[in-house]
Amino acid sequence: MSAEDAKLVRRCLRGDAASVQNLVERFQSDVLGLCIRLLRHRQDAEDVTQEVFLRIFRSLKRWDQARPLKPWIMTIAVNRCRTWMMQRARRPELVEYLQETAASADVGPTDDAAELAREIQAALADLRDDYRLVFTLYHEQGLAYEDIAEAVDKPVGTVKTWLHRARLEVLGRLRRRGMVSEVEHGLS
Amino acid sequence: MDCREYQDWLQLLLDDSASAASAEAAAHAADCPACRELRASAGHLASGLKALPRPHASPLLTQSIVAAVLEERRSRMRRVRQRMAITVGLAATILLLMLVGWLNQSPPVERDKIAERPEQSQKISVPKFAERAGEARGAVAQLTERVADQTKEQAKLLMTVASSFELPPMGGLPALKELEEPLDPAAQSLRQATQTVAGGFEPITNSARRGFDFLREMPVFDIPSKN
Repeated sequence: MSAEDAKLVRRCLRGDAASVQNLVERFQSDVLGLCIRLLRHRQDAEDVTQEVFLRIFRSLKRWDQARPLKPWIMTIAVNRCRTWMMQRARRPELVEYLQETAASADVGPTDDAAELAREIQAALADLRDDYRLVFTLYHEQGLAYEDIAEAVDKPVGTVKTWLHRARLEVLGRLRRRGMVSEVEHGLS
Repeated sequence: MDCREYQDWLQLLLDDSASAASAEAAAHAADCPACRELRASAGHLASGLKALPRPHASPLLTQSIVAAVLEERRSRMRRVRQRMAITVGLAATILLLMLVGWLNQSPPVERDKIAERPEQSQKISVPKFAERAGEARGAVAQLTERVADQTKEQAKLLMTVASSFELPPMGGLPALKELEEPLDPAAQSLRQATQTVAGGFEPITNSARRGFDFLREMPVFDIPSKN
């Protein structure tokens, strides 16, 4: 995958429009998913996703080809989301609309799996930003602890602690919301 | 295994780093309802995470991102090209200026002549100074001559005053006291004349002394002969 990434990046650096599109298509869902999870607002997430890709292509020459591309991209996305969140925190009038958009995002299928997914999403929305960030990077983006530690600029131990606490909080919410039965599933 | 150890095991299980078939964990869960519930909720979480909807980026967003990226790249390239053009233009201008400067430069012979000029100017300045010294010498000579003439005239005056006194015959010499009275006015005028002459000489002799001192302290230069 890394060699393929390196080829793709080289073509992008040469200005090949098709390769640029290829790279965007390949990672935009991951970036957008992370942005939605962290910013909890679709429009903001799309704006930030665009900024993230602009930054990615601006600094593509600095990517270390010996390392996988995705963690590097996600690090840029995390940094951009954090900056956006800090800017938004300075504008309190914008925080209110998050509750509305977060609630409206829950509309979807009504079967048990979807309900469970909605509960998890709601639980994630209630998490502290740091916990939500590492939970998303680990469980949704599939990054390793080391890559997360680099992305959030914290030691691996801290990342593990945050993730464990995030899980316990989510599990606690699932239990409180009656989403847990005695029947075990998923982990076997 | 206690509850804390069970939670750690559960975290490892969620990390996919532990085996679910742990006899110790099963034994603890059998005796601990809280940990059993935690285990069940962890199972729900794992399955729920798989069911989480993946956000789909709209084609419009993709196009927008690609267009923005390509446009930025184009403008960056334009800036790079402009910067390069400016740099090349500046370099060419500098080279041109250097070339013009080189072409306008005097040949080596001329340069040698230019290099000799300071010496020449030094040589030229020496005669000027010598001329000035000569002028000073002439002035001093004239001054001396004038002083000599004035001295001569003063001496003549002195002689005239002195000749106006006629001594009486030796046989009938009057008494000294008798002589003092008629001689007093003449002696007085003679004294005044002497003082006047001495006062008149003073500025002239001072100027002459300064002139000679100046000439004595003046350095000696080789005055080149004019060809």
